[in-house]
Amino acid sequence: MPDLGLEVLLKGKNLSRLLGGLGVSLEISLISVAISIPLGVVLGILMTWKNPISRAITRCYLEFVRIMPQMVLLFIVYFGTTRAFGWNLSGELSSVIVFSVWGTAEMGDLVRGAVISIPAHQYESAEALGLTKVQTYRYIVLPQTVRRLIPLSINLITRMIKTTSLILMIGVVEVMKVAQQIIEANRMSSPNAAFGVYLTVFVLYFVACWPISLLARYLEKRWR
Amino acid sequence: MAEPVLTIEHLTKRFGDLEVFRDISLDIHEGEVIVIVGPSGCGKSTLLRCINALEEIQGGEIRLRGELISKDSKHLAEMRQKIGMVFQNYELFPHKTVLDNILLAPMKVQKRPKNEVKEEALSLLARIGLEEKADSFPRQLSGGQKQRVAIIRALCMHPEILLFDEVTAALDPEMVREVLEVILGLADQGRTMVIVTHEMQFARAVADRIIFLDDGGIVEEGTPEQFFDHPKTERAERFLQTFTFERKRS
Repeated sequence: MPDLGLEVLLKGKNLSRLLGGLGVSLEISLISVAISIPLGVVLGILMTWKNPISRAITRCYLEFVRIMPQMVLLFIVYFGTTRAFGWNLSGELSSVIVFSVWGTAEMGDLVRGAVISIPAHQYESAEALGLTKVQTYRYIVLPQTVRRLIPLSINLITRMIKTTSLILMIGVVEVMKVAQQIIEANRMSSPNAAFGVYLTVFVLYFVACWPISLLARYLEKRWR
Repeated sequence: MAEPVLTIEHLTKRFGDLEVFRDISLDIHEGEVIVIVGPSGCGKSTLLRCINALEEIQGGEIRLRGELISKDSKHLAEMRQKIGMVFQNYELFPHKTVLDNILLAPMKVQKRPKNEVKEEALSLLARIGLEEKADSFPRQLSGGQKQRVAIIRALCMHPEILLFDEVTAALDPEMVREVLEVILGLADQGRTMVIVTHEMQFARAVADRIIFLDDGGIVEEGTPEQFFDHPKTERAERFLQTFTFERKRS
């Protein structure tokens, strides 16, 4: 069996450092998701309004954020604001800002999709039964929207966790950065460590994301 | 004759520049079954939607037992409880079971006790042979079954009048009959109904009065025998011919 350099993980506190790095990734993703979901719901509802001004603004926001690579957004917020405005944002705060801006756009689009996918007939059937506007939303439209939305927004969480691997570029010590540090530090003693350490990172991401996507799939099936 | 259940007076309806109805008037009496026929696009469905105030009207009045039905009315939700409507695309609520679909409006809108409504719903379901489907979801039913449930859902509100908007148009032919038989049964019970359909055999069987709608107005009305066997107008005659086939053999 080739030397995968796995023994490096057992040296010192390397494994627990890696887990700590994963913790940073998860923390930033979860804070960003917690901010993105409520803002995304508001954005999504604004996007379904017929008002041309709210439409134009939300449309611009969505296109702008989605077309821009997340790395560019990170650099603008982390490096750009320091030079231009003299703000000294930490890497973690910059990451949360960027992922919330991006997550809000993605969530907004999901909410918009879910709201417009409720056919007009559902509203009419409810009205024809004598339900008021509020009752129609409460018993018919919202429950169906939420059911469509929950699996999709859970998938957004896993996408966010995966994308946090970029934030090592602005100096946040998350799981990838820890991995690099461990490999660098052991370059002489275990030159093969790269494979084993990155393999471990892969497994850690998998362990974090797999249950989440299983849950999404389960809910999708159940509420089909 | 007693007061009509529903009166339509001088109804005018436009979609932008397109005039759908010009001055339509119609009285519907207790226990009467009206079938509206006419070429596609003549506004049959729109007329039903106007009765339920799902469409705005540009002139005239529609009254149910003397009370005005209008989109601006504060009592609209209340009025709509008295008008049962079944649509072409069986619109059950997909996230609710059959029973919950039926119970929703009687419980939330009319605030009736659950036990009472449930008992009624189950006995109505039993009558159409669907009692074992009470806890199924709409996606587990066939089109014909969904449509029958939609009829029960409307009935449980105890409406004064029932509107059927091409309820079999989206169904496979073998399911049409089971739905039409339910409606025939309702006619036998003396329900007041307005039916839009393309099934001419059925129209003939169920109707007390046929309304032939074309070109923005009522062109002809009469008993099924009068209308189908001796149409008075050339337009009605031409319309009826589209339902018969003949092969010209040389």
